[in-house]
Amino acid sequence: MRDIIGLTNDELKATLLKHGVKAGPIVASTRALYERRLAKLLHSYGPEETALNACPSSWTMGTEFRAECEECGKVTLPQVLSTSSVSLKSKSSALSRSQDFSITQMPDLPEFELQTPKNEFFFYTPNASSYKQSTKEHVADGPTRFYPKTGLMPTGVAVTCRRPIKGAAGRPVQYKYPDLPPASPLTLERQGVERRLVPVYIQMVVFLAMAGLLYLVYACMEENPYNPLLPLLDGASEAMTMVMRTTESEPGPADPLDRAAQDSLSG
Amino acid sequence: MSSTSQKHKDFVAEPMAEKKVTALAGIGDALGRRLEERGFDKAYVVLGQFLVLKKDEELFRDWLKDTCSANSKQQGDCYGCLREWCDSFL
Repeated sequence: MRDIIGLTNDELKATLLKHGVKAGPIVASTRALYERRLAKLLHSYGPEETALNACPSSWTMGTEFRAECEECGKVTLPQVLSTSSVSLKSKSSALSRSQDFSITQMPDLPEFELQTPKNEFFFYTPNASSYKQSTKEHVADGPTRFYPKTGLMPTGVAVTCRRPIKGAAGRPVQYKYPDLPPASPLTLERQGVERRLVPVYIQMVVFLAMAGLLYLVYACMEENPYNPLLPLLDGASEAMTMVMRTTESEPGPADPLDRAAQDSLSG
Repeated sequence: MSSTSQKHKDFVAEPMAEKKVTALAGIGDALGRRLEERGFDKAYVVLGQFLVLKKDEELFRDWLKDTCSANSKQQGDCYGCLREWCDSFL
């Protein structure tokens, strides 16, 4: 409406506040946005038919976001223009007033959702929108676009049906894509490599044997500073000798290893 | 919604200083040129606009669309980038 443009910054802010919108600073760069927001609020509340009945025709697109009526100078949005064309066409077929109201209301909401920038329907295809339109009576020519762009959605995004994600949402890969091999080339290569190698258990045995040999070599080194290893080995050798001695003479102490350990410690 | 791009991560990692407006996530060469024509030649000027709009998502998206004809994804990327930068540094 021309009223909105005629408001001062303060008045605009007050009016927005009245409608529950806490506006920020209204400066040159923000004014247009707040004007548009107020216009949206006003037109979503009031019955736009009364405003449009006064001048049923001669609506022209002025600036990008405003449509001006040449006769009475009323300014509105293209959204309203679309609903007005809907209501006019429905009136011509002598429908009841309540039905007019409902029809004008119906396209308003979904279209509004389509055309706000905060559009969450990224994968919204044109087919669905045309279906929606066809279910309504006396619909305007196709969905109205806030920013007329051919080949693109109202928000300017070019959308296509997305291919389902492989393996997601319970879609096992082998059922969804039967033509693909079940394993990647890397997996096949790995499997081939595994088959050609020596069996695993033989590898483990060789590994353990090598480890044992190395451990013995390490343990037998004379400059070994670790105490536990020496008495163990000495104890083992002592135990052997003790066993030999005890079998020859009377029965010795119960624990030859312990005695051997005592001997090594004292010696 | 979705994961953030490398451009987003690079922008929110440090103070923006004198970065050009094309450093913002969602703003490429074409949009950057349009913004520069309107006078928004540095990222901090767009930040200024973002703050004047009180960091409101819808208003900022509207403004981006009006100023440089950004599409919904670009608007979202730029908004997210600036909001996160503000959370870290403002």
